[in-house]
Amino acid sequence: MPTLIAPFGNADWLALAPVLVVAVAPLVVLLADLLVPRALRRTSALALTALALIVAGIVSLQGWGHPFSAFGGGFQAGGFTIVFQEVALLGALLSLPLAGRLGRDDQTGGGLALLLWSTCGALLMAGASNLLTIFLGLELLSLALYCLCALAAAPSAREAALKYLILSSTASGFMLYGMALLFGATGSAQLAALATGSGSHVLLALGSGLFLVGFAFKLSLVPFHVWTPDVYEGAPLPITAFMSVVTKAGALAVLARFAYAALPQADAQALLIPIWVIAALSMIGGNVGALAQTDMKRLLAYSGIAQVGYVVAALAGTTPLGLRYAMFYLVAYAFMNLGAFGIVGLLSRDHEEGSRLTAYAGLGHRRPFAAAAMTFFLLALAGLPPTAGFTGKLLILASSVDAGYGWLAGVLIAGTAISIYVYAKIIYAMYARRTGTAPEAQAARRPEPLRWLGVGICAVAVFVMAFYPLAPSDVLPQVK
Amino acid sequence: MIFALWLLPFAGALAIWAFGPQLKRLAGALGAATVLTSFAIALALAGQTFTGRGVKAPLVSWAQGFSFGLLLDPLSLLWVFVITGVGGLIHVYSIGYMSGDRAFARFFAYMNFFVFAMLTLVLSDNFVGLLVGWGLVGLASYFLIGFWFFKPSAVAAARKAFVINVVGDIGLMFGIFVLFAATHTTTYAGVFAKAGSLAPLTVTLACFGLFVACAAKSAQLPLHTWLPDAMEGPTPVSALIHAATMVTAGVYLIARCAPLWDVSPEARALVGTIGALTALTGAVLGCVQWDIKRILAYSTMSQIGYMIMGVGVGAYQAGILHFYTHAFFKATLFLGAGILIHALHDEQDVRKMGGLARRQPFAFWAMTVGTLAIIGFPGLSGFFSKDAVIYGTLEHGYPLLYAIGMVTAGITAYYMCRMLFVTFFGSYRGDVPSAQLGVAASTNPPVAHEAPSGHEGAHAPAWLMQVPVALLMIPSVIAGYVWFGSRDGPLAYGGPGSLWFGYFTTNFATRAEAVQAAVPEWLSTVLVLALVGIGAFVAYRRYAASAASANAVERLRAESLTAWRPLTRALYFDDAIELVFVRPASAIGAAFARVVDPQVLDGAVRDVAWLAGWLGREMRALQTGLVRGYALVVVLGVAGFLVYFAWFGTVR
Amino acid sequence: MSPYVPVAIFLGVAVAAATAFVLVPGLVARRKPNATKSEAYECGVEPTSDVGGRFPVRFYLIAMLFVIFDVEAASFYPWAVQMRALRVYGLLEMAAFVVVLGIGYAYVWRKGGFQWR
Repeated sequence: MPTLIAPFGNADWLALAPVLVVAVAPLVVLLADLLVPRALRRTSALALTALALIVAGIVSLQGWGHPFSAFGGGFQAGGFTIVFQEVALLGALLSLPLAGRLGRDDQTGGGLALLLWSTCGALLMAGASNLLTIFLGLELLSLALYCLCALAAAPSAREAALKYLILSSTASGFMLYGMALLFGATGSAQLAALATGSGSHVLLALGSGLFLVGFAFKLSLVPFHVWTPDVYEGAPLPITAFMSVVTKAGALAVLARFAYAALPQADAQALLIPIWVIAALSMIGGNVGALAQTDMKRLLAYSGIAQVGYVVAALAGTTPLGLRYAMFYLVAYAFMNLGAFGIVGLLSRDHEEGSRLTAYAGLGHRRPFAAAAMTFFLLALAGLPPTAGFTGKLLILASSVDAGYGWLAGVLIAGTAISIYVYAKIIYAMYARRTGTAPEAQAARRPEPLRWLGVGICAVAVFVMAFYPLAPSDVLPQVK
Repeated sequence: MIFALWLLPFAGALAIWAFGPQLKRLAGALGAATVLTSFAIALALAGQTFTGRGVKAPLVSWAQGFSFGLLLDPLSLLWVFVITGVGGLIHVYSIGYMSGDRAFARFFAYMNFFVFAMLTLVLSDNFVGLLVGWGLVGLASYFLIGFWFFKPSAVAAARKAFVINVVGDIGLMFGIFVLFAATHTTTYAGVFAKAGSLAPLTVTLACFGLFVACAAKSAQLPLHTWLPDAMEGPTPVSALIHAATMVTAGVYLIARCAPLWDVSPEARALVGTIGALTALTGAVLGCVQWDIKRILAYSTMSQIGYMIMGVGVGAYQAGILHFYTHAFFKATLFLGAGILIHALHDEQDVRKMGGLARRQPFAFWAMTVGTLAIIGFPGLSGFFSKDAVIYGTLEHGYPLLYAIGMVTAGITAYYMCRMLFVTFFGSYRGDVPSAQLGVAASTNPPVAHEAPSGHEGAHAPAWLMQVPVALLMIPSVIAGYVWFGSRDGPLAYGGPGSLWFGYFTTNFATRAEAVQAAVPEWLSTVLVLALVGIGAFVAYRRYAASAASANAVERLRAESLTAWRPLTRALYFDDAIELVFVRPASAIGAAFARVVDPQVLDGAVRDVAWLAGWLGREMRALQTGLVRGYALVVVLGVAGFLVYFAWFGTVR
Repeated sequence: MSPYVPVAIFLGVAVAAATAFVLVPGLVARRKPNATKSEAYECGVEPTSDVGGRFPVRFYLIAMLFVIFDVEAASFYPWAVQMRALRVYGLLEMAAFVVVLGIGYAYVWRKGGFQWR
């Protein structure tokens, strides 16, 4: 069995390099947690984690233009993968400044290690091109997240973790079953093999359906979104921010690859119709759900549901342009969402996350810069100029109309209309009410340069991206 | 350079907004400095603009025919000159005018923001940028009309202006959509290149949409009603936004889209007619106003009517020239009126003025020069431009519009001279009780001490307000001479060949397809002058002759009380809009208000639109927090999926 | 669908067998209980409380840690069988595996995961 002896070539190592960095780094973080003096533990863990993420980001970028593959074709590097990997790494990195409250002090090291492993799962998913790798990445991502969700003192965190575990496992079960059927249909776990369209048609259809259910769940598209608000609300703030970006980046990568590269040409459009339908449902449901929320994290959860709906809508018709725009909007979403979470982080104090909407009344008078930044991010989420959110939505509109999905464009506009109302209310509350009773006003504030740095990066990115909406054009060939 | 030109005012606005309290008095200086620097940059770029096909600065280029960039061509350069030049002078003037106002810094932040927005509008090389600028100037205008937001009338006026402008924005969007659908691009160059090959109906539709926008922004019938009300803003605002620049955006748009209008005779006829009717209506309504700023507002409306008529019928150079001269003399008039208002402690009613020539000689001379320019006194700037517009209609084959333009010129002379005479001649009537003059009680609570309260405390030096006006008087007199000097010789004037002004209108140089007019130009000029003379003479007889001055109080009272009601009600435009749009809308709104909880968010969310809120609550009811409930939803979703996929798999 | 017929048969047989093993004894067995037969079986002590009671969470923690390391250690067996075929690559792979396991073990130890407080 010569293949067994050297299953790894140099190309494999290169393709997997960023994944490996993030896979090994947590071990270092854990060891550091054991060896470093108590006073430095948190700082060192945070620093190591950030370093690992940055190194992985740089390493990942080195792969540009080198579509290597690993695991015998089960993992493909290249432009497409890199974009999603960078989004995931970015999401993880920018949630770090919020991580001051990630569990007790002695849990920080372990928590960050889990966060890195979770990121590792997302990186795997970004390049996964066979069912096994997909499942490996997904479970790595999810299992670490179950623990991370519980990393807060509040009972709600444990409740969130348990709910997430139960529902997510259910979805994983469905997905695994779908994978089994897909494998049964074609006799191969490679996505590319599915595209040949050989094998049983019923199995292929049912398998695709169950597989897509699993990812609809991870993307929290309506009606598979039910877990999202509770989990987002209960989980610690940095983990919520992390989930809202990293999980979605990973899941979207798989969804996009599946939609573009794995489905037989003849059936692809019809097989994907339910996905566009639930994308439409998400755009409406997410925004409508956000209307009645009184908690910022819950509200952002619903908002995220709608935002992902937009991204998925961009894929409608599986046109090359649509993929570019979906990637653009995903990146934009990552920045604006992380920015909004950054503001929530800024308003947080040691024992209370700044997520009650009451904390925002009159914010414009108490903390004008935080309020201004929040306003900017909310405008972006609502899709108003001059933000990347506006540009992204415009492009998605254009591409979905172009691909013949005018009704999706219509739903998008309707969803946006509702969402403007959602965000305008918060902006109004921030500026209209002078009386803020939030105790945060009285408490002496520590300077928070790291959080401001994160928020600043996001703000600049959201602004600049509004004018340079160019997704790299060479990513598409590497989907397949 | 062009970026600096564009963004400097914005940077100024940001700086003033952020550091207003620290800057204190310097806010005004900073605002003026940034705008004047932009002006200097525009001057520096002028040579480059004239020699080539304009200065281009691509910003962003997207796929699918979206590309955004800046374009400084001769046409936009002319607007940039006026926006930054006249705008800069008005900024300087405002430092004096607004000194003592509590929100001094805020005022300049808004003004700078307006200049930026206006520059965005004229510098954009595509329709989307135009739309953005269009919306932003509307926003700036809204802020500035409602600047003294403690005055209910100012808030109402601001809202009215905003609402009507939104109607215009929708028209603009409609036009852009039509063009985009037909040409798949939004850049001027791209759209105009295909203008000739489009279906006539498409072009007419697009032109119609664009013209709705023009009508709203440039106060054309029937969307003009906001402009007189907009005079609630501070006087420098009226001078800059509601006279010199923003309201002429419509003229800019039509001139910019000349290739479209060229291929649509229907659109030309529509625009020309509306322009002429607006000119006439504005002039007629100006005859019965007593508020000095409202007189000027109606005159602005009337003059823009001229411009629109000019560019509408195809006499682009004439219309643009009139914009150019009008910016100077109307700014002079407004700023002169501002000096009066300032000096008279916010008195704006000309009936309570009178005899001010001796008390305010500077304002008197400024207003006199402005008035002579606007009525077209031979040799002053308005003479050339107005004559060019009026004769242009004839040249392009619209004799009816020509007649309206002539009549309007006469009426203009009458009401402007009326304003001048009542204000400056006779004896001062400020002490005469209002009732004796027929002045109706004001609906506003007295706010004099909240408003530009420059009178108490430190007065800004008078030169701050006088120097800008003096500088504006010069072009008010001589700006028209750019029309002189054509290829046919230094004294022949007018036409596409004019050397100086021709620089600005190179876009239109090849476009003159004037027909031979029945009346020679010299005769036309004489006729117009005769009408102007008659108008001025009538005004003189009624308001300035010794008989009129003798019992001025009596006569003004009689005139106030017996004025023809349709005219004092502004021809019922407001009432018609009220009846047709506002009443039904507010009825619907009231019906909704009964259903919708009118409370607005107080931390918790109450202000929820009815349907959406209901849905939201229903969804929250689903969101019970129970895992089994969630699992049920997920499983139902899965079932839905499976049904579809099973069906699909077996059917195929 | 033919390739799945054996699967279906296998499934049916399995379910039937399992059901039979549970049901048949209950149906056919003779029941003659006496005091001795009803006692706790063979060894151990009399139960002092209901089995549905609550355990300290420590118990689960230790149990879970045991299972994790147990299962991971179990993956040595396949490697041991194929060691010669996998050669150096397999050795390195397994060394990496042990290092990861060791770090985890050290972490749990130092964090007091094995202490029964």
